[in-house]
Amino acid sequence: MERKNRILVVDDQIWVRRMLLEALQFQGYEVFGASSGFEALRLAAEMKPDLAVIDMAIPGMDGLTLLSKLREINLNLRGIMISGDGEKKSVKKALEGGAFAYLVKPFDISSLENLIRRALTS
Amino acid sequence: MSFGDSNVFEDLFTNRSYKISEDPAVFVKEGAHTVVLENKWQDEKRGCQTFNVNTTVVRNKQGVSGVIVYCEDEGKSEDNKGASESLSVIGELAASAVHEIKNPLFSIRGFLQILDNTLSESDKRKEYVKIMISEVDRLESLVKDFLMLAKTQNDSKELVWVCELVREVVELYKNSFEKKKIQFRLQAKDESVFLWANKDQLEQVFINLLQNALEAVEEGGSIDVIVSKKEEKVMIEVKDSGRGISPEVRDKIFTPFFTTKKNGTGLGLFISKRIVENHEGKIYFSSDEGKGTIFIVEFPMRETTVDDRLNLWYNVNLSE
Repeated sequence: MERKNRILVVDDQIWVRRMLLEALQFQGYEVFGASSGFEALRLAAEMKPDLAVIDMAIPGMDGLTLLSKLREINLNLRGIMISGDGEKKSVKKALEGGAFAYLVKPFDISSLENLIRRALTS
Repeated sequence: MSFGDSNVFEDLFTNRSYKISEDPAVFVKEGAHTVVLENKWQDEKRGCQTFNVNTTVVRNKQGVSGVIVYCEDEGKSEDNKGASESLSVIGELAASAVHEIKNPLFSIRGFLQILDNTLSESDKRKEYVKIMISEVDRLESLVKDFLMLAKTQNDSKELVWVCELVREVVELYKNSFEKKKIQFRLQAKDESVFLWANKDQLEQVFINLLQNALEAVEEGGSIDVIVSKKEEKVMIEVKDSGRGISPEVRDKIFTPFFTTKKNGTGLGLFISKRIVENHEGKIYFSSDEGKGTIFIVEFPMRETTVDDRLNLWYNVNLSE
């Protein structure tokens, strides 16, 4: 059987994380969540995700640092950054930092699902 | 009065002149500098003053056409710090409260969407879920507008080039205008219109006015923005060929939470008015039902509180 795409969700807000995990699981992905950068790195080493949905402001290290560390492990990993901050500067910084996309919270779950589909096929 | 010949700097508003210890060339470099100005005014107690100087280089197609220098008296700005700091504390507190509200709303909305996906079309509960989602959306817009309201507490100001700011906002609406086949015209009667203002807040005012105009006009209608200078005033007009504002609601449109839109928060014009008034300006409108509306925002050309903050505005023509 073909391996399901694996998605790592990193957000320190427990119900936001849980909601994203459930929604993506419902879409047929294999999902796992972390509440901090360090937990995410530990999990990623074991689970080898194809894509990570990362909140920009997580405890321990910021989201972009985490993304670059995850990409050191797996260069092909796609990162979608999520944040409550919609300032142009932050969006630009994230995209320059190697993110595939940037979504401003609150967003419609279907826009995240569409982006993930695009990221995984590109 | 030219920078080229001497190091004398003349304050156009107070008619005082200062000797600049630095090379005047410092002003041609864009950004913030600190310079020491030696006061040549006879009765002045302080001989030397340190100024925080902010320069903006104005370019046209031929190259640099001028330099605008804004000087802020360091001593005087300290006096105002206490008041603005307490205001910004309130603003920051409100901003973080808003962020705290956004997260739970986001998870509620997400879970509702998951529920919505699992229920069949014939299930009555699907309708309830849809209502809940649209109510969460309304709360989200309210929270967003409240954040904007909190930000109006921020009184940090900079020199804003009005035409450029209007162009930036219009750029955001380009696609929406095209989609609705709206004829849009920006008429900058005077390019050199500058305001001492909070850029983000001014941007918000124009976003609100353009959004209202966009929603008021029918497909194929027109929207005009006119920037001009009139008798020491900066005028920005936003004119639309929309349905107009009905006489019954005209005195209510600036009232908080009053809205005629299906998904409006009723805060847009309230916030705009507040921002404009914080900048010592005025906002008013005239409307002809069925024909269109014109909103006019006017600001005094410069701050009226010159005594509180020494405000020097200098335009040197370097192209000569």
